[in-house]
Amino acid sequence: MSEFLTYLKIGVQHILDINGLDHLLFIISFCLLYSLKELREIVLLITAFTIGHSITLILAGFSIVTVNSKLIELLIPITILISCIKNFIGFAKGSQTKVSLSIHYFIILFFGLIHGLGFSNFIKSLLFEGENYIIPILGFNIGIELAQLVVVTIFYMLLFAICKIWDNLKWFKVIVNTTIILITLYLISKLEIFH
Amino acid sequence: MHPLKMSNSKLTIENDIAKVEMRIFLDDLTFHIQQKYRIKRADFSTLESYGALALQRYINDCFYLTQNDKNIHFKIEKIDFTENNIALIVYLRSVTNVNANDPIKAKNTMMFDIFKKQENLIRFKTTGNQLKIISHKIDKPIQELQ
Repeated sequence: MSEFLTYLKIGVQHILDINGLDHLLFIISFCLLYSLKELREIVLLITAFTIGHSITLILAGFSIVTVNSKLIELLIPITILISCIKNFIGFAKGSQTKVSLSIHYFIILFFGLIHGLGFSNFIKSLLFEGENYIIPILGFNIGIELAQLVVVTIFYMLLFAICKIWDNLKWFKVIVNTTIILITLYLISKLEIFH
Repeated sequence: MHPLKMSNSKLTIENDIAKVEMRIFLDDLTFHIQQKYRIKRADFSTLESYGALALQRYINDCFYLTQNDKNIHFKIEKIDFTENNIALIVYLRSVTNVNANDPIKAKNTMMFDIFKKQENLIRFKTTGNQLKIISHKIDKPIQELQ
């Protein structure tokens, strides 16, 4: 298998693996505020997240940025909690205003920067010094993108199916949001930094 | 626990000696070595430390080359850590000679005994100087290098 495909597959696995719940939860949490009708917004949000994590993944991959991995492990679940709290505010307010959407993009972009540092910590550890980092990092990044698209597609297909049998989709989203918060708190409690 | 269950190794053969730089996640390896060899704290700071000695036994079982029906085992030469302490870098050297021109098979079952999804990569430059990446999985523990 080519080097590019090898790392692309690793990128896909990194997001889709159930043991790596943090990124999955984050992606679902930021989709919760939007419906399928707001496809443009969803695509823009995913793009913002992609731009964010691509920047830090590349910068950290080339050792331009170095951040304490334990701090990043803590910051990632915090971004999920913030996203969920923001969701509750959004559910209470109802529809998004243009101002709040713009803020949302920047928040997602910033959170993408943090998640990129998380990705880079692991992938960089396995790369050899003096090797070309471009192909592995590019493959890994594209793998992450593909997996994100898969997660978002499955999530909206699920939402579509549920809205056929349950009128009040808002309550379903509230339940999912609360579940994400509980899982995230559990993940935080398991972090090495607290033991 | 992080979701990436993999290791990455670079194999080179020079002057009939095979050398390997193996990168493997420290948290998974420490946990496994402690459980498997009943060590209270697997320490890899020196080659004589309990963790390193157990790792040598583990590598003897899980990582070797086969050439002309003979197994070629490896000895740990040096252990290092990545700068973020996420991975262990293990430098290995073959204890017997390897002929770079003869067919070689590699067995790499590191961590397969605890992670079903573990994938171990080996980067290797063939005699034609082409980069080849071999992926070992639980259903493919032995692979032909060339």
